[in-house]
Amino acid sequence: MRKRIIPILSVLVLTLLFCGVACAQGEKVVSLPYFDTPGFIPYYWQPQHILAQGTIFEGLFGYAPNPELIGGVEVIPLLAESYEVSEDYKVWTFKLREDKKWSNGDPVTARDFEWSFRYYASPKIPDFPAWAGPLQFFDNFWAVKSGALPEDKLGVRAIDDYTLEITLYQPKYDLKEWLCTAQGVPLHKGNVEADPENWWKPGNIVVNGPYIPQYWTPGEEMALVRNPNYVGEVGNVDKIILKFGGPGIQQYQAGELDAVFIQNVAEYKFVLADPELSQQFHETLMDPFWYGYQISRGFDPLMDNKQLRQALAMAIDRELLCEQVLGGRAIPLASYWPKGTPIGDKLQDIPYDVEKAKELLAEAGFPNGEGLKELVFYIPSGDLTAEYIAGFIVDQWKKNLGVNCIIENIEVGVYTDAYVWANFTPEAKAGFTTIGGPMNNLEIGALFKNADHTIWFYDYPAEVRKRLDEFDKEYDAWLRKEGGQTEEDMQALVEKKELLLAGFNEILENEPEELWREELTRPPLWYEQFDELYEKWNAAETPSDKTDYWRLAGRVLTEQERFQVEYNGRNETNKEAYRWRLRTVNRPFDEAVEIAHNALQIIQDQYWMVPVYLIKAQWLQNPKLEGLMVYKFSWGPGFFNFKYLNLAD
Amino acid sequence: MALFKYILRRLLTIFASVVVVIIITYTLMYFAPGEFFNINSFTASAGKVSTLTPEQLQILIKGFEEKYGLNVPLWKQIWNYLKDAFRFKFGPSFSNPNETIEAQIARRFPVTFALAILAMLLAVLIGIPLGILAALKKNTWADYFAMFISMIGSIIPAYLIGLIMIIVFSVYLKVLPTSGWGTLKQMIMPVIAVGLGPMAVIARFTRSSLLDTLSQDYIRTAYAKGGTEREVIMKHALRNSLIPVVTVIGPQLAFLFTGTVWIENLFRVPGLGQLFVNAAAQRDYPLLVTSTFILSLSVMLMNLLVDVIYLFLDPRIKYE
Repeated sequence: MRKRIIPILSVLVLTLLFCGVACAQGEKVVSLPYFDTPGFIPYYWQPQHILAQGTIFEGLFGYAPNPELIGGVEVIPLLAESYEVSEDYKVWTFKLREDKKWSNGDPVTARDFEWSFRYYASPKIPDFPAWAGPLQFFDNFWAVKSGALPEDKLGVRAIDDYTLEITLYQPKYDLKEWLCTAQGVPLHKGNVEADPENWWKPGNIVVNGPYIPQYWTPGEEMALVRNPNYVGEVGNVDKIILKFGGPGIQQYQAGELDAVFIQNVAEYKFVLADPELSQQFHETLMDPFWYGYQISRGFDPLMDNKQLRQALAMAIDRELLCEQVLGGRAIPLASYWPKGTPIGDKLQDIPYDVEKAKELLAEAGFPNGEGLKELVFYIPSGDLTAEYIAGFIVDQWKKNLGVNCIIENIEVGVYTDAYVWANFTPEAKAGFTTIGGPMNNLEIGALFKNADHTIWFYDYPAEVRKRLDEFDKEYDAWLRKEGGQTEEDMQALVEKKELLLAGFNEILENEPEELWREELTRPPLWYEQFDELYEKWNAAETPSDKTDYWRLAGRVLTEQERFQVEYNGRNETNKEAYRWRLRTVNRPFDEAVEIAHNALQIIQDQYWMVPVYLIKAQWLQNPKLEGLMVYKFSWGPGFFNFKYLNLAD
Repeated sequence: MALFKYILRRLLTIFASVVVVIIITYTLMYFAPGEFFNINSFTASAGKVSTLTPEQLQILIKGFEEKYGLNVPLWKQIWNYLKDAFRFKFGPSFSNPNETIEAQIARRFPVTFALAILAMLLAVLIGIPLGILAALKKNTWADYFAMFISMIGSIIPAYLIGLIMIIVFSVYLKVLPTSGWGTLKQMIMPVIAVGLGPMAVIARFTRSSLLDTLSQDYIRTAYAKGGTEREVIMKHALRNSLIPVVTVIGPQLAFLFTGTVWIENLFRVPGLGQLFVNAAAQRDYPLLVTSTFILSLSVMLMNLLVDVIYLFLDPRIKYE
């Protein structure tokens, strides 16, 4: 008996070994660079949200490659089979595919979406970054998130296993686009509930995308393997190793990566000079971005002088900048979108015209820069690119216009928070900051690439900007005010409300744009909110409740007063830009793309936020590898949506 | 017993010092302008414009503050932090809400520890003999050579040395992988790159300290008593020369625990440096304060360890 077992075992072992070797030989493995990923929970604004978009998770819609379109992507249905939308664009009904499965074999149903969206909206995830996804538009989302309403009041409902209804609190024409983001993907309820802390770790995680995380070492790498239960289009790659950091191009040369991004001019030149590597070179424009400068957000009335701003914008040789400073890794950008894109083709460029700029400067009251005080270009400390670019621009202004501008470093955290993205920066002197305005994701509002900050914060006279800043502070101060105990306290607010109501009605009567009027009269109306708070104040039994309602009522009025000062203080160009913005966001995405240039052109022509250059994503790619997609939105450039990858033998 | 009491006293001092360091760091961070929520939420989208109403933004901020315990006064935040920190519980960081800082440290610390210890071992094993050689062969080619090697280690940044090694050994010779951590082959280059700096410091300290010791009277006495050069150097000179060297090794090692970020990035070594380096710029208070906690604790404990080692190196030292 023993004698028989040994040969049988030997044959078995050999067969298994042979199979193992054969299988290993046939396995297609691709190694790519990736962002150091701290986890796999899809809804956080971290690198995994890019991985969740089509690689490890799928939502109702997702991206397919299309180099002709914005961001190089086209929105396609993934789990959605079809959809209907109500006339007012508030109720969306999706029919789901019935063949889609989770990696554990369970079917993906509308109930998964219902459960997941309610879970995301619940106070169980207090730090849910709602601004990054579609749930912020769902009916009752904010009340559910704050705990005021139960989760089942959220505007999502599984009508049956394969029909999902989403109700929004206001019309949203680009919900489909928003549903492509990572917050639009479902989670597996059983997976999450079995271990709420660790459900997302490799070994535990259940996904519905084409790849499953196999292992993950933060700071080093992770591996994804094919999901055997995935139904849908997917390439021939069995395993993807995503490496975090490393020397980059040397990893590629050593054969450890199948693609690598070029990080700087030296690498770019090295690649172009190498006969072999230059054949593997690829590049694409990061069209959802723009880079340039903005007027600093202080209150110096000097910068209200449009001719001065225009002269400065026209006196920069963008071609020279891209050639000399950026070493060919960017293109000159004289409008918010580059030529060759649907919006960029309709925008007029800011010309490089030194003579005209000189004329404008003279008209502004500063011939050859005379009489103009020294301006300040703020840059983040330690950012060499910003230093070179600001240095170049400042040099151009000095050389072409005789304008003096110094460069001042600000610590990077303060810079980002207080100088670049703050509503206002009272301490900023007349001058500039750098700015890069990306689209976070494909959606209509992002078509303005944050250049619509011109509408919100710039295109007012300086004294109005200053007043708005005071309102922002007053609004916060109401949270800490003492009072509200007496009828007299409240009466002061009631009288103020009446005054504000008169002003509000006047605005409504005179505003010609119906969409704007609609926006202003969308419930809950501020004066109704005030009346409700007044009633609650009357009924309040404790002094602390009285103070709270009084404070909230004060905030409602401050907000309304701010709005009226803002509305009445807007320059005409500001109002017109905002009307065009409203017309753009109130129509489906494809139509919005067609008319977005109207608002953008008005904004651009005010020269508060000035485009200067646009970067390219440049990379080397294994010639055998196909279907590599570049992620071009915020966080980009990076590689993503790996289901299209194919590796030739 | 005296030693035990001494260590206990020092540990209490360390505890008090760490508390003070944390209070100062936390307070400074609290009042520093710029907030994580704004810096990392692309404020444009997060509601400073009209896409979110002030109330909606307030709900987001409130939720964020609730998760991280920022909705209480500063003194209470510090108290809560200290209470948990000494039990090695740090909660999640702002930039990584997926898991707690202690879980991240638990995963990364062994890697950093291994890298630091191996690099220090390399530095000691090469640095001390190099320093001895330079001191004994003062002003000869051997001295110049040893000091040249140590100078290279001091002046060329570890990152550049790492990159040169990658180009030579990975790209051209193809004998070592460019990066990664775990196998012996993957460890060679990062350990050398990290170890060269401390090696240079140790070599120079050993040289100057040994030269100083060799000129002492008791060395002359040892020779006069008939000791061979080997005996005198090994028994008398070297032992005394190592005291300043040990003083340097302690803090060097402590800084290696958090200060190897460039090398970690270059070689994809999943250590602590990467975790801590962006904390300040991102205003990630929990992570920043924890990195201060870990670093200050490491430096102080290393100093204590060094002081204890002195006892064994120099019998004249007594701690009362």
